[in-house]
Amino acid sequence: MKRQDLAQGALVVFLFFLGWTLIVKNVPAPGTATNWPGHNPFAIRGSGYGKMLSRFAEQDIDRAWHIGLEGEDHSDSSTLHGRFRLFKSTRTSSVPLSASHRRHIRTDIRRKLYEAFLLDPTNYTTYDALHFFLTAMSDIPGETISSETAAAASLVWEVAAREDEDPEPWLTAAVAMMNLDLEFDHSPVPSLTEPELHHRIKEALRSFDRLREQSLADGRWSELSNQRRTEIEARRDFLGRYAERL
Amino acid sequence: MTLLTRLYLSTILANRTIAVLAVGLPILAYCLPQLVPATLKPSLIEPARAQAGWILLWTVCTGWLFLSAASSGEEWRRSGFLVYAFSREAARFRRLRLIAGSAIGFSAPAILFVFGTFLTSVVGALPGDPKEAELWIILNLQSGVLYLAIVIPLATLAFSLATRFSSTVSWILVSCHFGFGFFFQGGLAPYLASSSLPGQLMNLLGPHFHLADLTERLVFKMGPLPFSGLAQFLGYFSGWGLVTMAIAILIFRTRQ
Repeated sequence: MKRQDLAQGALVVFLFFLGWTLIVKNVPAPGTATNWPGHNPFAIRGSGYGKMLSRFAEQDIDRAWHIGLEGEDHSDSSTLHGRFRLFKSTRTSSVPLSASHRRHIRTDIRRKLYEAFLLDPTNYTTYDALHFFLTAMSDIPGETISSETAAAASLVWEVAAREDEDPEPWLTAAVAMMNLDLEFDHSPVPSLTEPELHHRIKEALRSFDRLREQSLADGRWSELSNQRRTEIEARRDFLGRYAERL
Repeated sequence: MTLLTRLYLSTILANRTIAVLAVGLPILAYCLPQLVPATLKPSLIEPARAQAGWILLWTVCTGWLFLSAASSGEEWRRSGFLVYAFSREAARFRRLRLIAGSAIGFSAPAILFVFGTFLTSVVGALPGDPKEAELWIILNLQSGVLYLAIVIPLATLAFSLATRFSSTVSWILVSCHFGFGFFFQGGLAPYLASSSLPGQLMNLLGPHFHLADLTERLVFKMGPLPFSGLAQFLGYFSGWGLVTMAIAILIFRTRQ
């Protein structure tokens, strides 16, 4: 072996060990449990893209539910697009899904719902679907509000209560508190009393009204599609009627 | 500039993919924020622009850089160009010099990409408050430095691996290494925090590239990294850079 090769080899070994020392010296201590948003590459959760992906996930979950568990697609067959979708999703196999396959689909939907919820905890549809799934579809009979659903509701409150521009998250916050309130007699949330919950619901609706006034004033509200506006109004009416009875 | 640097730069300039990137990246950076549902919340748009820039940098630009480094490695070795370049160098530290020359070549497009992203982020989303604007610029610069510290050694490794295996194999290996550190290592934290031996080994051996992803600080306007944190990150990444370069020098092969 030539002398140059030896020198080069020694240099490579030196570089390697220098690098290794730097790694060992500076390696980060692994973090312990973190709160939402947790491990969040590119800050997708909680950002505008999170909102977008959460809305995309709604449709995906909807299809998994209707085709996988109910075995039928509710697409409108009067339009060409609807007919095409029905072609794609009509079952031609006469063998029904096995029980274990259905169980697998349920777990899958649950995981998708959780992911969609974490992308944007203030999304009314995904939160409500997740809550419904965790309570009504619970595998454990008789169980209503579990620690999971309570945790989801408090995350909604935590994120939505920072909102000072978009009225919509406050409706999600109100419905989350309503869900906790409805089941309060069976399974109270340890950290909250009933009057506090009622106060939060009313506060959320007040904030919604205030922010909607603002968005009406600067024209943002009128840019929404009619369908979205009626949807939001219907939710507001429903929650308003609930709040009146408190 | 060494021979390999010049050859790499003229190769990518002659290559048409750079034109596709030059046209495509600005279009993507413009279109991605339009997808954000911001009718009721217009303040979502500005962070989304910065985010789009950094997402494109870390995924598309990085992927392209590894690919172009790997394909040059394979092509130059096949055509015998590396043998020629090797024979031209002075006897001492020949492999090291060839590797360093190519690394300088790879850093040119990388710096250009970072500059483009920096412009996107600063032009598209600079906060109105002057104090905050200053912090924003510092944070973007920090992100860019961390990006270069990670990506240039990895591109060199892709180049060097491709001289021994094919460019496809090299690209897949390096991308998996990078993607694991960037997307998965951070999600393993609960497992790594356990005191089990595999967990601790994984924490030490797995590259924590996710630390360089400062998008969260940008999107939630958290301000730049504190100096001690930045120094530790840079120390850590330059450690990985040195190890990667040492492996690249070992693997590098010039013969056809």
